[in-house]
This record gives sequence, structure tokens and C-alpha cells, in this order.
Amino acid sequence: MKTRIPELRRQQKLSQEELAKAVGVTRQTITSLEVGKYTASLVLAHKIALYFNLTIEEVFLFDEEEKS
Amino acid sequence: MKKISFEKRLRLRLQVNIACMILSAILFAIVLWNKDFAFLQPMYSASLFGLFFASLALFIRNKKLKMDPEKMRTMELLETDERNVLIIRVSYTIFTYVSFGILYISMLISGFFSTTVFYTLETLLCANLVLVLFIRKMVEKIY
Repeated sequence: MKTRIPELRRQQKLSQEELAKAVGVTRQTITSLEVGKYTASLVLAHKIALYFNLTIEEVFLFDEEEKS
Repeated sequence: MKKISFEKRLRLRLQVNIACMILSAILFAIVLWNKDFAFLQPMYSASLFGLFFASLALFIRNKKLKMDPEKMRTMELLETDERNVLIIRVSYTIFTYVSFGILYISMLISGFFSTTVFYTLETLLCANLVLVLFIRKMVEKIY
């Protein structure tokens, strides 16, 4: 799944480590999310979206294949 | 499912570590004094030594963690991180299937040499399968 996490992090000048600490996961999880190797749980997706003051759909980009 | 706090989990681990150390010491004493099992002494001694020192090492590690809140938080994060949890779950699932495969192949090969070993491994395999099914049903009830 594609995410806007790297872009949002850059905008807020935030490191992976800082974001990881804020949402209670490891840096490796953030890396995996960013490269699309791992799909976040609903709870984590909610925490990340909340951190950036956005909705889940605005942070995590569901493509057509995943929707069906 | 009810969540146990990391501090409580750590306390529980320390208790298990102590129990394992005591158990290995008692069993070691029994093995040492029981002359009927003399032929098994080296094997049992090495195994019990291993259990004792592994428990001791884990006890020291857990005790250090308990005394350092920063380290405890880091460890908690590593253990509760959802990706790490997924990795562990997938690894254990693969390990279970591979173990079954190894056990099944060992059972087939053992048949050429010893029927006793063959039946022992066959029983073990069947018992494991029943156990896996039972555990699965239990976990299904939890979630």
C-alpha cells in the first residue's frame, strides 16, 4: 500500500525515529510502511493520521485493487 | 483479550526464571544421586546445566530491565511493535509446518531401522497434530 508518510514527514521536518516514538512503534515499522512492505493496522493507521491531523484516506492511499 | 502490562509480564518472567533454576537444581541433584540412571548422567547433566545457566542469564537480563525504566520502555516497544508481533507469528507458523515436515520424514526414515522409534515418532506426530487443532480452537474462542 502506498502512503504519504515520507512526504508528510519531510513537510514537518520529522525523522522516522521521531514519528515512530510518537505513534509507539519501531523505526523499522515506519520504514516498512514507507516502502510499502507492510500494511498498518487500523489502530496504527489512525494514530499516524491523527498525528498529522489528517484522515486515514489522506495518509494511506488505497488503490483500486485493494478496494475490491 | 485482556492485556497484561509489561511490568507484570516482566515480574512473571522473573518468577519463571527462578522456578526453572530451582527445578534444574533439584533435577540435577536427583540425577547425580540416582545410580540407576548412570548411563544418562552426562546427557542429563549437560541439559540441566544448560537450563540452569540459561534461566540465570535471563533472570539477570530481566532484573536489569526492571531496574532501568528507559531500557524497559525500549524492550516493551520492541515486543509490542505490531510489525515485530507479525514477524514472530509468521515465523512460528512456518516453524510449526517445517517441524511437522521434519517429524514426518524422520518417522518414515526411522521405519527402516527401528519400529519402536517409528511408532514413537508416529505417536508424537499425531499428538502434535491434535494439540495444534486444540490450540487453534482455543485461540478461535479468544478472538
